Amino acid sequence: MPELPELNPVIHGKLRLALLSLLVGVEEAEFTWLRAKTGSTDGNLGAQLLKLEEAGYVSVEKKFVQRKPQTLYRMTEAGRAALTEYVQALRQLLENERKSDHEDRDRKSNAAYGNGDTD
Amino acid sequence: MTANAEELELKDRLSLIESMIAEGRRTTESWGWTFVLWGVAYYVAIAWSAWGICRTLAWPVTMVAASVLTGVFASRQKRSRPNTTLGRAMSSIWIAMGVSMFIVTMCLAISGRYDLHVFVAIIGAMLGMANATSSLILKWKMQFACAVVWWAAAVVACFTSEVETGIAFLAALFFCQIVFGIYAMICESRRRNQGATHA
Repeated sequence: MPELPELNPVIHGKLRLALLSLLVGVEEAEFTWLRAKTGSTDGNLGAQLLKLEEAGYVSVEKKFVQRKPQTLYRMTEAGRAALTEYVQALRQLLENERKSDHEDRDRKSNAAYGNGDTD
Repeated sequence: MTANAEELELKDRLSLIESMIAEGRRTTESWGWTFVLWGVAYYVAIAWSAWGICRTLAWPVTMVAASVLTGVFASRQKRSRPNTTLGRAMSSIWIAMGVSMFIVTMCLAISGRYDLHVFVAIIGAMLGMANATSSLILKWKMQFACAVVWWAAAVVACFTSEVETGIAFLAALFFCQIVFGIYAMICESRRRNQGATHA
């Protein structure tokens, strides 16, 4: 039996996964935009973004625009690669679940017709 | 956790990824208002050059004012929205077209070789090109129809009288700037109202 892929725990968190999925479609995004799109609180969002930053999946740029602080987040190449790997692993796991479901169903129907695990 | 619950959780993660990617892509800039703004600017310039005072200033002043207003509104809008590659591609097309049109029409006006037929033919061809490029990238048939209308106005300008050229230009302005701009604004507000998907 082939070994099942493991899901990256940094990405698997729901909010972190949502953040990476949002960032993959844009060049850069402001903290406030990410907060609006995820409906998360400032504290939670900051903490999750920090985890992604520490993992090297997002880069952060802080600047002042018209004297107002602006925090911009960008997805890094490592983040893009990690998300792609995560999606592939997720698909493989779902495929395996589907296969085992089919096998269970076949075994049950064979047993019902009396030609199942008799040998 | 049972196998079924695990499968549901994995599916939930996959649909979260899909919905968030779609949400990020849906956040394209709103540009419908620029069509209306420029449509109105053209009408103001035409009216001023026909009936106003200091008529020679009509086009340069109106065009510069419209450019400044576009720049101010666009930078305000940009502050609340993220940059996308698609958005940058779109604005590049329109900025390049605007600069080209400004240079050519200015030089024609200064050299005294300004003629309504040439003016409408150039504007029609350039706006047709920009609308067609945008529509092909965005796969937006309505905008491609605008490109066809502008190209038709350019062809009309080459073959018909001055009055007919003027009517073709005014009609193209109305349909491709005012009507299309309002339609684009309605589409954009509908898209925004579809609501954010929360994680």
